[in-house]
Amino acid sequence: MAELKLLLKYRDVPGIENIDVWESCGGYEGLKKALTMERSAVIDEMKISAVRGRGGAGFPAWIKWSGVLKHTDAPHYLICNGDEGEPGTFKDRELMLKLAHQLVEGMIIAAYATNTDKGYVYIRGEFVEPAKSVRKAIDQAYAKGYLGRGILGREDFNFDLYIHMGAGSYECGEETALMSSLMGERGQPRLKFPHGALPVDAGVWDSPTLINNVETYSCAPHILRNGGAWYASMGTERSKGTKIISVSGHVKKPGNYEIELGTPLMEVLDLAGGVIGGKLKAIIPGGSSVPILPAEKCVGVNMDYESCQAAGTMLGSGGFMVFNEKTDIVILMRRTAEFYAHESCGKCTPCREGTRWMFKILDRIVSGSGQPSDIDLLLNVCDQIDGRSYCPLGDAAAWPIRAGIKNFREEFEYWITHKKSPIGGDCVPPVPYRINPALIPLS
Amino acid sequence: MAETLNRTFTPIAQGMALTLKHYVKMLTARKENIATFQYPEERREQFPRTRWRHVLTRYDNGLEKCIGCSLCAGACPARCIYVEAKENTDENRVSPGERFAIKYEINMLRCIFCGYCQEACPTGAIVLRKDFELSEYSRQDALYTKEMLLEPILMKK
Amino acid sequence: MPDIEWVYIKINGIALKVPKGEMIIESAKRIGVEIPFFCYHPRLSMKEGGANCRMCLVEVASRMPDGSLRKMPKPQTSCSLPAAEGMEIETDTEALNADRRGVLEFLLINHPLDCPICDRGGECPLQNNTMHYGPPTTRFIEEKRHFPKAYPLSQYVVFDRERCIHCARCTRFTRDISGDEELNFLWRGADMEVATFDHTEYNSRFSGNVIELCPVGALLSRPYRFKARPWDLQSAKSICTQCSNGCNIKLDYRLDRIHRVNARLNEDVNEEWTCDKGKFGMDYISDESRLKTPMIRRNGELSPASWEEVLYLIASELKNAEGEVAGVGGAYSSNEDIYVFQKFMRETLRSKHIDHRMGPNFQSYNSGLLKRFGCPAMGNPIAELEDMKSTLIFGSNFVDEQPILYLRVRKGWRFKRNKVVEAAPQGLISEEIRHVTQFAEVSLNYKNGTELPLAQGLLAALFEDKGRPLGEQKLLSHLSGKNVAQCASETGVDEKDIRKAAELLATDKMCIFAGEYVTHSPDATAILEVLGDIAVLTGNAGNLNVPVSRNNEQGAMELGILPDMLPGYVEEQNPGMNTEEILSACVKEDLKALWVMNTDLVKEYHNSDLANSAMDACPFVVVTALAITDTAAKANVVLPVHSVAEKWGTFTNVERRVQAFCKAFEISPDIHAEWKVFSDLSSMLGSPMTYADGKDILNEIVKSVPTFAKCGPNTLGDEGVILNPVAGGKE
Repeated sequence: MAELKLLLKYRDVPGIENIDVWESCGGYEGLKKALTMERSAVIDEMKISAVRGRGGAGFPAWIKWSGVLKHTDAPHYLICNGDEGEPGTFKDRELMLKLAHQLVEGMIIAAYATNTDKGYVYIRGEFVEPAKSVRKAIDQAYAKGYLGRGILGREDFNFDLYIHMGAGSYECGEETALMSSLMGERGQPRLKFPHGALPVDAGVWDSPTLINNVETYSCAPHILRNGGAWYASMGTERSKGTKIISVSGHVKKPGNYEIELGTPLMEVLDLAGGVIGGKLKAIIPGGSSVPILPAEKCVGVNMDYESCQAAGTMLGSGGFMVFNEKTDIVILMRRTAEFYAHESCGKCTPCREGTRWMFKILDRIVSGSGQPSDIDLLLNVCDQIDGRSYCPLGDAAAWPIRAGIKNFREEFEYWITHKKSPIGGDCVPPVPYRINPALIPLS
Repeated sequence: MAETLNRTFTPIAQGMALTLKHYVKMLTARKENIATFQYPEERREQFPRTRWRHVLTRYDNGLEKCIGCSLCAGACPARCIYVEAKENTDENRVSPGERFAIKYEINMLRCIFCGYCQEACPTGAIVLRKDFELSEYSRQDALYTKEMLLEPILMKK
Repeated sequence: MPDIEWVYIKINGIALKVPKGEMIIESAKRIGVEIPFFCYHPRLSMKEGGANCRMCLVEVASRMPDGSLRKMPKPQTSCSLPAAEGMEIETDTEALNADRRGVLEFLLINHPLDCPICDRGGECPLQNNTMHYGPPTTRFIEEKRHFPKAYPLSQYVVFDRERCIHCARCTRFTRDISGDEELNFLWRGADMEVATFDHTEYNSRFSGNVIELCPVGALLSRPYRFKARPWDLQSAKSICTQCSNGCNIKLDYRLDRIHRVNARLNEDVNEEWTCDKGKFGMDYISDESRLKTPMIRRNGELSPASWEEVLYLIASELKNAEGEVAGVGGAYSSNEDIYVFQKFMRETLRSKHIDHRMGPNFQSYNSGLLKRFGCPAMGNPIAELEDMKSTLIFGSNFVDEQPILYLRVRKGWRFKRNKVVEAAPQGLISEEIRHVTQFAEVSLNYKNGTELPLAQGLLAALFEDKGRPLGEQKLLSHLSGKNVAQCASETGVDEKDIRKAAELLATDKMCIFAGEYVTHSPDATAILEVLGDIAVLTGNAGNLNVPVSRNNEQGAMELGILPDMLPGYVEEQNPGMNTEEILSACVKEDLKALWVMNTDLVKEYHNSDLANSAMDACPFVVVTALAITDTAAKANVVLPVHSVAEKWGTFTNVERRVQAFCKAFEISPDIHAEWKVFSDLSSMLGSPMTYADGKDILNEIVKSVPTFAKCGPNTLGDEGVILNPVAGGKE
């Protein structure tokens, strides 16, 4: 098991953003093949491939697809979650920028399989270039008759695809918040099962909605072209297929690497040219939300959903961050906490107040005012957030901090007792309390 | 007859003798051993935790401590406190913060000097001090108003 | 309720049966288990906000399809968790107590502890829950969030942003209930704050409710600010007097001053809402301008007098004027006052000239409706409005005329997907008054004064609808031969819109509201005939509502302050004069005395010139009043009378519900109840009336007026009783 290019196979083909080049690489063949099949047969193919949601949670894709198809009355909607905001992850950006046709084709297949005639690509607000690229791909697909009314001569299959740009909120990557945002409301999550209906039953505008990650949709053309069994032949027993890993940090060649699921973690590191600037200290294998793995625990871990879970971390969205021995974990944790405090949508109490509090404690520690009780306080605040928040953002804020303390507790203690960094370096000035600029009192 | 005289005058004489003895003793005694005070010229020193007349205190800068929160009225078992509050403005600042008492009345006839008001006060504004002479000529006069209860401004330099 | 599906669940080991899908927090209430909460409110939607305070967490084990119990790994919010078969809930475990402590610690991170000066202190859910579930101290040592205190959102609401706990109750209220969507959140995370768009004024007719909804002291009343603490206040059950809807309220008072008005729950009338007119408009009760002694005009000036003096004067004047006395007003007095007034006029003074109507048109639309449907005003009870599949609001500025009915109709639209059709004159639909238009399925903006052709157009469209039987040829006569196209061009409304509206109205549950643009129209009777036809034709005979607008106007109608109706709508054989005729007679000096009952006639009567000259011309005018109004200033004698806070009494609201209000305090012993004035005078004039109190009078009404038969003082209860239907009514 090693690097295996499937989604990224044509990344470097010159002019791949043009539909002709994409077609010459076998593009839209998956779609053509899908259109010869029954809708349910397409979903069966997805079921055989056992492709799992690539957004982070790893939910089997075909269950969602068939959930939407079984509704026959209301209009269906298709949403592509391109709000890639996870620190350390940049795979969707590349997939949309370079291989937009692959995504568009995947969405058309999904639309056919779920009998949907409207789709939205929700793209993160900062992704201007990828959005332009997707726009171009959609326009070309319309011109070629892959989108619009009566696609490829099929009178019963109409599909319109729209782009919706986010407004700069990490929270909108959460599927219910994304749907709120899409409907023009505040980007805040909505009730989920068992409190509310699943998106496949009542999503946007209370209609059945299929929402998947960019990478998940991008798998569909390949699965249809080569068959689900072919796809399932890759990967491990329970994690099939390939996964794009975005490697960043202290490595020689950072970038997106597509691997077969189950590839050893250290092999991914080698693919990226190994650690630079010192010895390996820790790896965050799945984006900033997942627990950090210290170097000694990295050996023997494979990059698949189950193995990562067994090692106490998660595959997540594949944001593979490598830290060498000169990294100060406390400063890293403070930066992580600042991110979540800044991105918390404010809806529920634990996340709104807890993330800001965690950040303030960590900020205090690295500015030299830490107290011995702070570590236990941090752990306790993590416990009060984890599992109590409205959506997983609260959990995602608590996990890394808790894992950081668990694995590197002595560094926190060093900071608190010595008021300086264990790897050298002085205190950092605290982040000043931000006064809201928009306080214009009424008369 | 003699017995009657004896029964009448002997106790008087005995009593007067005791009085005379103490009178002489007092004339010669040291001042601090005398239990009797020459009230109202002299007043006994009160115990430190004595709870008598209420006083509304001020901060050093002259602002009133009372914020008109009515917690004393809520705590009062005799329901003898009446508070009305108003909002501070920058032109007319009576206490720090947003709120002050525009009316503060205690009906001293009803008060049982339990000190709950002092205990309830969040700013330490109402305190029971040692002034115990609370008799008045009319019932109306026993209604102490805010002006009567307020401590005079002490300008500290 | 036939088709409720029941499920069996267990809460803390206690088995109970609840409707499927009921929120667990409600199920727990059934067995008296308390679950703390801040953001939950049963009348606000959960879907778009809610479940965000995380205070109501419970541990849940749900029944799997194979019958096994599986405990959910995380605690769940009971406010959003629908009950399902076999669920087992724990509400009181050590872990949950830790969670609640955690949530409260989080909430108190940024909540200032200025409880002593906070108007909510003493009745604050955050205080209570913290005392009960919270940690004794905080571990937060950094500085709290700071904002300028007391930010004025509107003339009624002041907002302390430091205290806000972001429960979203207020924002959900403006979206789900009041419908103005004025409040929403700004920014995100810990910087989040409630605000209006662009910090403009919070402009709502129902803004006062957010003060009661706020679980902390963030949204507070401006008039009540720092007036009193909850433990200083006493509370009296009362009824709002600002309009005819009859909201149940609590008057919170201290000594003899009203300090605030809060809503009192009545599921059949106002639920738990009030409008701003009522919540902030009851100050007149303890206003400085209240009249505290009778006044007599001496040498052209009103000067104080004693009750003996004024009653003697009035008695002697009225004795001379027997039969040539008239009385107007009564729409602001209690049922008891009204009854004694009409009895005094009819029996003691032998005058039939009494009327409460202030014009402009005196067509007897009430008796017309009465004869047709057996219902003089509203055909549907308020609570039924939310179940009407379609509602036609015809010629009404609905939100201002009938605020509580508006909330019901909107509730039906918002939560039950009912349809609303609005017909309003073109001038009415402006930026300012847009409330019904916002959710109306069809809005018919007709040219001013074309109510009749529009109603005919709707009727014609219903007739032309092929699915409708063309029976009832009689109804066709009201069309005056017009068809839809003619009506459309006459009214300036698109023909398609009329047809679409008619289509929406053709359901089995439909009701019609006719507003002031109908009742004040010269064609009022004809329009109501046509609207009645629409109701009959769609199979909803009787669902025609012509709601009255003033406080006890309905009571004045029911109890016969009408020249042609005795109490209980018994027809008077020789009708007296109506208001217009009375005032004209005054001008012609045909009347010797005029009694104005607690009404500012000069201001309210549609033709103020006529009212003024009538007041000037009449030789003897008695006015009962709370304060010196423009009318009282012209009177010969002014009598101070009790307001709603100073006596026990009843009002009849717009849906004919008789509701009692209680005495709160007395302002002065020289202010009398109105009925007391009439009974004293009647005794002086030789026909004694012996009433001890208002309940005595109500008992007499119950005995003598059949519609009031169920409304005895002991049967009214807190919710009130709807009057018996009027006998008669053909359809």
